[in-house]
Amino acid sequence: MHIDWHGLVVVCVVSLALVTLLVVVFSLGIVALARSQGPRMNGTGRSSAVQPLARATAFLCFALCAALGGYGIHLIVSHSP
Amino acid sequence: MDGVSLLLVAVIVTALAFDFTNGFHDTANSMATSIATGALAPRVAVVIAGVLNLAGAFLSTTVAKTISGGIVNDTKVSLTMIFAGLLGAILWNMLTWLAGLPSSSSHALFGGLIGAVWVGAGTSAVRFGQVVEKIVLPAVISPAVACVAALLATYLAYVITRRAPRGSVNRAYRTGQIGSASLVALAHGTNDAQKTMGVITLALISAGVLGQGADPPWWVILSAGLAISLGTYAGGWRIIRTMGKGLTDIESPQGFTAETTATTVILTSSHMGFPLSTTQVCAGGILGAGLGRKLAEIRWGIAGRIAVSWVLTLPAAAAVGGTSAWLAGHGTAGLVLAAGGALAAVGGMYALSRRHPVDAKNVNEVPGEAQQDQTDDLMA
Repeated sequence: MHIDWHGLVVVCVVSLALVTLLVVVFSLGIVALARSQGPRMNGTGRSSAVQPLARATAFLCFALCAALGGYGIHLIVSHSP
Repeated sequence: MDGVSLLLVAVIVTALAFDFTNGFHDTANSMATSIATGALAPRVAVVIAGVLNLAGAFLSTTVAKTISGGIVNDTKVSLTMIFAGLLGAILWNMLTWLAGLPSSSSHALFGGLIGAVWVGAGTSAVRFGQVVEKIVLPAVISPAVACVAALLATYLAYVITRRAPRGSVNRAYRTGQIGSASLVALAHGTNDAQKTMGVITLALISAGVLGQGADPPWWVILSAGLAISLGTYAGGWRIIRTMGKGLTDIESPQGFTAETTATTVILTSSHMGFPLSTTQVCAGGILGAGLGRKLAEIRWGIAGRIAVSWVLTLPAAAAVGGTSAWLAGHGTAGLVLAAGGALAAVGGMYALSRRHPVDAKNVNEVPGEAQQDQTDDLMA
């Protein structure tokens, strides 16, 4: 019996890191999106300057998640047992 | 038709039947949380899962070269043993479905084969070291990793979005969840339909219909893909209810983190060559998502029953597989008896399920409350 402990640890760490990354980025995207839509988030005149920045952040976050999802599809298609 | 070809037909039919049970047993993996959070209507969810499973079946480019992945000595596996092993797997899948328990279909198949080979070819044909390495160890580690990852992710998701308006936050998580749940369904079609294709192809090879190392014929790919896809579409509503509503009450952010965790753990480990059970990863993810939200209630009784079913899967399927192999070893009459017994048991369990049916309409009711609703209806 040969157990690849090193490989197992790598799988665990990589999974944990990727899940955290994905969920954090997606959540930040949601917050940014809400900020870009909410016109009076801070109640000052700054909102007009904040909005395009927030929209760009949201776009970047969702694009990163979509890219990771796309890489997932790539893994599924090219997967061989 | 002579004895061998009759047996071959029996193996192919049983393999497709197993594929079908595999489909409806595992609909919950991809769609239970999406149905529970309302990201997808129940009927729409099973259609998407069914179509993606079919697509996944055709995407797979390589079919498993061995039936068991080295868990049993493949040179000693006969058609009769494959048949008996499949019966064991089907019966355990039916029984756990009746109880609404998400147990692993792959483990049921391995268990059935182990039992059948043990009885048919002796203890030496079962590689117990491989059983520990490829089944027991991943069964302990993968749900734990999924649970921890989902717990952390869910906690962070709630912390990060706590100041944003709830309505738009939930909408966004539900949209994201559809994406990650679809990936789970696609990966499931690739992995699990492939197993059935492998079983049928190897049966055809050992019967001499196909040459050594042949690729599966088109009709094998098509029928295996259709069987798992139709099974998925049929929807194992009992298991969907346990996963979506029974274990814990899933909110939109939790549905997203649970499915994202499942997708990531499954793809990471299969990319690195570690076998694991999709079902166990998904259940671990849902449990973690429940623990990660403050004040979320986990129904530990249900979690405990799920854990017990996981421990029992391998020995129970092995016991049925072994009994079937012993029966089928006594010539055609025994074979017919084993098949007839299995058919009667499946029919009986289906009849039992009709007494308290769970379907697309009542899938989102928490077990227990459902009966209360029925009483209310009667009173009104």
